[in-house]
Amino acid sequence: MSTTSRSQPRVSFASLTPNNLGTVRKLNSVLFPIKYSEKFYQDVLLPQAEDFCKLVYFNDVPVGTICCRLETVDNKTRLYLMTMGVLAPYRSRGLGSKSLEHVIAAAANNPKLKIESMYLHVQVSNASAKSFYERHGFKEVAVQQDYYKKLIPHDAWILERSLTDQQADK
Amino acid sequence: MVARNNPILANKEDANFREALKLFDSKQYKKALKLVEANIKKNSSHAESLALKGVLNHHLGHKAEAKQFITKAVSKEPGNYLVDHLAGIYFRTIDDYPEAAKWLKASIDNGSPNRAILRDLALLQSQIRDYKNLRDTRQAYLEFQPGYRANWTATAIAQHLNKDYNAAVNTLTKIEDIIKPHLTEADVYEQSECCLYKNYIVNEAGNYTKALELLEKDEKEITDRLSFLEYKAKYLVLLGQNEEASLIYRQLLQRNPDNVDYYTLLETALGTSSKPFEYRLKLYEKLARFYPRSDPPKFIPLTFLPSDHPSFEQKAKEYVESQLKRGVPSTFVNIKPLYKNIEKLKVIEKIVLEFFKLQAPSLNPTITVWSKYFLAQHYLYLNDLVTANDYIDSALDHSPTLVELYIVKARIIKHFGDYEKASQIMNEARELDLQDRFINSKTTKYLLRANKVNEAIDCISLFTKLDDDAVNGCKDLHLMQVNWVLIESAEAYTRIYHEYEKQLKDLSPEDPSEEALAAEQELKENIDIFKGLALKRYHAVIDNFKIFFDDQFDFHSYCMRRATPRDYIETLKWEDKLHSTPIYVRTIKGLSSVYWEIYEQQQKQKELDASNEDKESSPS
Repeated sequence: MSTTSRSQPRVSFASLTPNNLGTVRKLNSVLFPIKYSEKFYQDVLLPQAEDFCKLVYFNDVPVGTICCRLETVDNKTRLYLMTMGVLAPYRSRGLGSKSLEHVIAAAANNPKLKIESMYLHVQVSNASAKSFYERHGFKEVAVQQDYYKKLIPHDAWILERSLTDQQADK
Repeated sequence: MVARNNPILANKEDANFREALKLFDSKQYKKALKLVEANIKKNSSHAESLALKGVLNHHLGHKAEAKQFITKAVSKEPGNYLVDHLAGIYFRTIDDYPEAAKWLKASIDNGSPNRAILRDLALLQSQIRDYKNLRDTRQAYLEFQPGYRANWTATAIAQHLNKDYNAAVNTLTKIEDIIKPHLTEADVYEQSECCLYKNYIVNEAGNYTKALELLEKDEKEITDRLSFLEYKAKYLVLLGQNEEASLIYRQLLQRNPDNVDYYTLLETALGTSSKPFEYRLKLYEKLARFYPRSDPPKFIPLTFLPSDHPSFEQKAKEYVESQLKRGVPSTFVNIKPLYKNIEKLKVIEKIVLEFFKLQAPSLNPTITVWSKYFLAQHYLYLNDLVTANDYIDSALDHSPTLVELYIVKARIIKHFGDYEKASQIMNEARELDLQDRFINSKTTKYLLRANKVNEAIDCISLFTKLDDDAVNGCKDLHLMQVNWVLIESAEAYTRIYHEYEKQLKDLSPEDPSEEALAAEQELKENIDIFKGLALKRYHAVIDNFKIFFDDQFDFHSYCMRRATPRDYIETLKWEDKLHSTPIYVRTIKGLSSVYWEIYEQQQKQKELDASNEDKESSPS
C-alpha cells in the first residue's frame, strides 16, 4: 500500500470558492513578489472563470495555483494566464505541466466560449519559464516594454498559443 | 370527604366544579376560571375550586398567583383526592418532581378511582429515583392495563432497578410466553430487545450459566446478532469455556477488526496474555495478515513488547514509518499512548529522526512535512518548546497551506504563554479554509483564551443559525447548548473584570481631578458589566444541565413503548452521573468563586458603612 502511494502521488484540482480563497492568497504571498489586488480575487471567483482558476493538490495538500481570466475584444475571446505557481519543495514533479494542460484542455473542450488562444507575460530575464511554455506549444509573439513597473528588468515577453488548432501542440 | 359532610353547599358548587374540570380538560382555561372564581366567591374555602384555580392561573400565565391557591387548597383538604391530583399536576408543570410525586401518591392513597394517575406517578418516581415506590406503582398500573407489553417491560425495569432480579426475569418471561403465539412482523424487534434485556438482568445478577442457557434458548428470537455474540462470548469466558469463547471472538473480529476490545478479549479467551512476548507477537502478526487494513493488530504489540526487546524497535519502525509515508495526520496521536514509557519514547524519537534525516529527503515532499509535523508535536510533548517551534516553523516554510501545521504552531505559542499571538496564528489557519468547522472552533476557543470574546463569537457565528434580526449567533449557541463556548466565555469575562479590578486598585486614590474620577467611574461600570456577563454565561451552562436532567422525563415512558430497556438503563446511569461531568464541575467552581468575591465585597462594604456610621453618630 505504502509503496504505491510513494510512487504514485495523488494530484488533483479544486475550483476556487470564497471559502478556500485564503489558500490562494497564502500561496500568492509566498510565490510571487507582487501583492495582488482585491479585483484579482474577485475575478478568479467569477462563474465563467471556474474552469480556468484552480488550486493544485499534491497528496491532498494544496501546493499550487493557476489563475486565468477571459478577455473578449471584438468578439474574439482569449484566455490570459494571470498566475501559475507551485511551492518550492513540490517543483520538478510535473505539477506545472499538469496544471497548464488541465486548463488548456478545459478551454479547448468548451465549444460555447470559442476561446481562440491563450497568452501570458514572462519577464525577459526568465528564460527557463519561457522554455517551459514553449514546450507546451506557446510562441513568443511580442516584447512588451515596461510591463513590470516595480521589477527589473521591466520588459516582458508575450507568449501565445492557439487553442482552436490542436496541431499547435508540437 | 369534607364536601360530602356539607351537602347544602356542595351540590351547586360541586356541579360547577365538575363543569370547570371538563372545561379544563378541553383546554378552555378562561371559561373554567370564571366558574371556579364564582365558586370561590360564594365559598372561599372550596378546596377543589382553589386547587383548580391555582392550576388554571399557571396555564393562563399568572404564574406568580398560582402556588398560593394550591397551598391553600391542600392545607384545607389534604385528604381530597381531586385536590391532591390537581396539586400533583401543578407541581409537575413547574418541574417540582418530588412534590408532584408526593401529591399524586396522596391522590391514589385517598381513593382516586383514576388509574391513569399511576402512570404519571411512575414517571415522577422514576425521575426522582424513588425505585422502592416505583415498583408498586408500575405493578399496580400493570394490573390495570395488562394488555400492553410496555407495561410489563416497565414493571420489569422497576424490579430490576430494585435489584429484584428474579422478579424482573419472571415478569419478562411471563409476557414472552403470553405473547409468543401472537407475534407479528412488527413485534420482532421488541421481542429481540426484551430477550436481550432479560439476559442483561441475569448477567447482572451474576448467574452466567443461566444467562448462557437463556441466550441459547432465545437465539432465534434475537435479531441483534452483534449483542448476541458479545454476550455469548462473555459468558463463555466467565464460565471457563475458553476455546468456544475464542471462536466467537474471532467471529466478532471478522465483523469489526478495528475494535481493540475484541483483540484483548480474544487474548483473554486464548489465555495468551501471560505467555512470552514472542508467542503473543506471533498471534498478532497472524491477525495483521488477516486484517491488513486494521490498526490494532499492528499497534497492540507495541504496548506489550518491552522497549529493549529486539522486536520493539522493528515493529515500532514499521508502524510509524508506514503512517508517515502515507501522510496520516494523526500519526503522533496514535503513537502517543506509548510515551507513558519514557524508554519507548526514546526509541520512537530515534526512529523518526533517522527516518526524517535519511529517508524522507528522497521521498515525496509531503512525507517530509508530515515528519516535521510529528517531530514538532514530539518536542511539544517533551515541553522542549524551542525545538518544537523550530520544527514547526520549518514545516510552515515548506508547506504554508497545511492547516494542521498552524494548529500545532498555535499550541506551541500558547505554551510559551502568548495567548494573543496563538489566537492570531489559529485565525491565519482558519482563513485558509473557511469551511473547516474544526479550525473555526479551535480559533474561537483560542480567541476566548485571549479574552477577545466579541471576535470569538463573530468567528463561531459563521457556523450558527442566524435569525433575521440577530447580530451574531449568541442566541443559537445557547439554544444548541454549546457549553464549551458558554463556559469559555464566562471564564474570559471573569478574567476581563479581574483585569479592570486590578486597574481600579492601581488608580491613585489621592487624585481628585475630574479626569481621575471619570476614569474610576468607567472602570467601575466595566467591572459591573463584565461580572454580570460572566455570571450570565455560567448560569447558561447550569441551565443547560437542568435541561439535560429534565429531558430524561420523557424517556421514562418512551423507552418502554419503543422497547429499548437496555438503553434506558444506560441512560439512567448516565443521568445519575450528570453533575460530575467535568464541564459542570468547572462551571460550579467558576460560578461559586465569583459569588464568593461578591459576598466578601459586600461584607467589606457593610463593615465600612458601619464604621462610617459610628464616626457620624459620635460627635467629635
